[in-house]
Amino acid sequence: MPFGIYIHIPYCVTKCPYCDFNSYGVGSNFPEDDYTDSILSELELYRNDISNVDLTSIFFGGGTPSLFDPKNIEKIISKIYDITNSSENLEISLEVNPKTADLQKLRGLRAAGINRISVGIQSFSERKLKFLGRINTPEDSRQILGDIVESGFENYSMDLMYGTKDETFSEWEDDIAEALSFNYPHISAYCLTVEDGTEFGRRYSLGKLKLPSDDRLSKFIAYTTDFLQSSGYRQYEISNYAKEGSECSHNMLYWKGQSYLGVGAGAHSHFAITDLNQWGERWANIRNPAQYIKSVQEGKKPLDFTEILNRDEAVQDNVLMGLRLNDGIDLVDIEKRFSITADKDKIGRLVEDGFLESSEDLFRLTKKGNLLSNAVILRFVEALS
Amino acid sequence: MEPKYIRNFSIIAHVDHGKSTLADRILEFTGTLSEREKEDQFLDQMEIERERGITIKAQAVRLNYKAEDGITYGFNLIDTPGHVDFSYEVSRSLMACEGAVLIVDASQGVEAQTVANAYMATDSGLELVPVINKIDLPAADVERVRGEIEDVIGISAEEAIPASAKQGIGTKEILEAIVKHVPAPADKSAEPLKALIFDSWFDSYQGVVMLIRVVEGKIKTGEEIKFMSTGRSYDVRTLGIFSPRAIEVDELGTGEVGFVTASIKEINEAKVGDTMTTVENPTKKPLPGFREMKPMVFSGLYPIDSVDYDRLKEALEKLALNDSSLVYEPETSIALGFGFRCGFLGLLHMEIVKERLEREFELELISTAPTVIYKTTDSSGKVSYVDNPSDLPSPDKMELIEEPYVLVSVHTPGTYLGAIFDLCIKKRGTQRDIRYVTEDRVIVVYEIPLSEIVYDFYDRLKSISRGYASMEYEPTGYKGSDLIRLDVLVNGEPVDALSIIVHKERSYERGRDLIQKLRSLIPRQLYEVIIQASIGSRIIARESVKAVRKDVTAKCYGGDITRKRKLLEKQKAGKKRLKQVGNIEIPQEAFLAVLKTSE
Repeated sequence: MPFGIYIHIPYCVTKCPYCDFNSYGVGSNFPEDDYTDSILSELELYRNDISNVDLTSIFFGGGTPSLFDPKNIEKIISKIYDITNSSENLEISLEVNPKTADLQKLRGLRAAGINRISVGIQSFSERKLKFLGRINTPEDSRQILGDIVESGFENYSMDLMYGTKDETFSEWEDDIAEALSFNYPHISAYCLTVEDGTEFGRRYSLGKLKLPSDDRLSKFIAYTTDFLQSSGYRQYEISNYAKEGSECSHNMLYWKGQSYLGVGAGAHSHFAITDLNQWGERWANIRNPAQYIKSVQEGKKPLDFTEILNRDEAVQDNVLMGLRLNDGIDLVDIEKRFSITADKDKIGRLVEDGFLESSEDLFRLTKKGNLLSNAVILRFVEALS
Repeated sequence: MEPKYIRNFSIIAHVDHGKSTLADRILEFTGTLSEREKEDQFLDQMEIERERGITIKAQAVRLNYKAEDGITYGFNLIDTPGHVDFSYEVSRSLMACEGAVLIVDASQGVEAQTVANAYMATDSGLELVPVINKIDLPAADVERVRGEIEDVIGISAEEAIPASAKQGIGTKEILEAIVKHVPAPADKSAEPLKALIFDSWFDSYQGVVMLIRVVEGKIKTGEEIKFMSTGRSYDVRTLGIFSPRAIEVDELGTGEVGFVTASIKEINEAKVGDTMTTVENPTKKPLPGFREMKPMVFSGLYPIDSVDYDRLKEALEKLALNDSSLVYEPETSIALGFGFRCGFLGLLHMEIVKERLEREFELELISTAPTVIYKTTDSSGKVSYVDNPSDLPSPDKMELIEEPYVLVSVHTPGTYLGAIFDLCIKKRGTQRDIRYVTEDRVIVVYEIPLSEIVYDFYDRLKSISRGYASMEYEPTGYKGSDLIRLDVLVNGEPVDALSIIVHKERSYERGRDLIQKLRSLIPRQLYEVIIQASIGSRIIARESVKAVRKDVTAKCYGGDITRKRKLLEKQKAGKKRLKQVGNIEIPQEAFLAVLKTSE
């Protein structure tokens, strides 16, 4: 079975107002070496668990991992190779913020073993970038997109975002058109979501943030899918589009319910099957970086919580993530794996009403279903419980 | 105890003017309630009553008070409920008394409810002992309030007692005034037994427990008694008084108040207002005013989750043990599945029952719009009674449809007469009487269809009279009316649980109104929802709730699925309060939308 390792770097220059990930705006003030050491030590704590896995991907996410020196990234990659005896044939991704990397750094990262870059462009519109609190300008974005190619990477992706305050349809059209001009094989296009506990969440609850209505956004979403599809990108997940063969294999692990180890502050892990539990378990690390470092330094696993899954939860997680994929989920496989019987009438109804489509045992969201995936997924989960 | 040493009274007050606190002070002062036993507001037993600030069940407490004249008097403090749904029970409780302590807040003065309660007490022939409470508050103005009592209520307030129940000021003076002003019960000890049942409840060990006031004669343990309304007889097992704990006695004499058990298994056998006498030496005439308490309002109660049906049944059985006015029988709805058609005294009673089912039994319920019982006659002269709108035969199968009418007596200051006339006319009422009790106190009597009363009449009356008007009503029988059934269709399918019976002349207005309300109550969902009102096959109103266009989580990051799962849990929880009808989810409140229609 494929296996992935996720490394979380929680530091950012500034925290974006919409971001609800475990990240901290610290300027240039972060304990890079201590944190790197902690990552190495934490990996060591899991040596027995991962020494025999079939490692297929490593992903450096954040936060802003491009803040780190390529030397430290290299140390981490070497450690992973050392523990897992992996082949060289891995997908190793790293997230880059346009403002924190240049040609030299990108070359360094490539030399360190990174072979896939995911860059957070978000937009080419100054207005949108400002609203989103990004530190990059449209110029930074254009520069880095070229530099990534120039530094020799062959696999790269960019993130875009839409649904900002007062965003016009033509603004988004321009963003996509410019993004396509760089000919990246992978694009993630996210609809801005207001999350609790963020600056936007706070403003929204005070009535000080007005965003486009869901009805309006549904047009943006439909357009994005149509336009990217007609340009040769396949929507392989709700917010992810790729040319054939350029899908992010690390993210596929999450959506397919496979196993991964998350290392670093606030990182999440999932072992699909464990010796103790046939339905698998999930755990998350301590979120606060300083406390995370402290815990690892004391030789303790830096756990925030662990959950042993029961059958219902495992089924639910599988549907929750699996239906996000364009490949859909194999209902017969799920029934067999979890020894359950689906309510075929309920599922049939969703197909009949155009939210799902099926070919043989595979069920996937239709275009209409995609827009309403939360509600459709909920009904699908109910049909399985 | 000799009748001349007995004083039976209740306390009446506007909400929050200190009724329960004064009751507690009196219990303490007379040593009835020791410090250790003290529990605030002892008289209000149930949690739900405390939260609503109303007392549903009457209670009677016996106190011994050694007065300044050196004599020990036996007081019976009788508590009363305070809502029109229970007005009959209130009247029976007041009938057990000779006097009432009327509490008025020293800063807020005479309030609407004070007036309404005072009227009811004086109508029952009770002597009032006015008390001006909360004199410790900075805003207290005893003299102004004294004036108000005289002007508004029309009784002398010269001897009104200034008090602070909270601080225990004036308690003794109040007790003395009770001795002095509340008449002792008439001494009819030599007569055959005549006792009023003014409350009853079910106890799992004793069977039915009845609270009685002995009006004439006496009652002893072991004696064979009978109820005059049913003629059924029983052996008295125990007699006693609450002080406030139950204390058994061998005998209750004329004027006394206490409890009786007689191995009665059904609460319906011991009817409030009935007269109890002995088999051996029966009294000739029952006490006046007995009325069989029949449920007037019917509604379907359905579990949101059909697996809860049996639990709902058990819960109703338990509640009905103690509530003779609650009736229920199984019914089936195409839209809602299996449930019960339940009968209540009125809307408040219905709400209380529903709330208790949800709170004490942890059930999630849908209740359908309340309705009255209609009477239909077909061409062959066969009469049927319909307590569920969806059972109403089609117009061609009915010769006649009749609805129950009630005689509503509204007590009001003259100022609000105009508005009250308008309301009664709007509610299809016909004026039957108008009497000026004093220069500014009027009783108007209207005959109005009960269906118009059960919805919002009471609330509207209170609002147009700023709370000053009070009302009571009694059934007068059935009368023919031009009524039709209004159906509601959701995506073309009739939802039986949403049907209502309306007067033909208002059907269009009601239909439009109802559909608009439903539109605002039904959330947007996966499917577009078309809501229509129809009469027979004719659609008279239509609204639509557009389908949701976007409901998608953009990002699931870094394998953190917990957040996504929380969202799903939240959605699931939201769905719990919705009833699936076809592929549409209808929220609980929608089934009561008819109550919210504006007119």
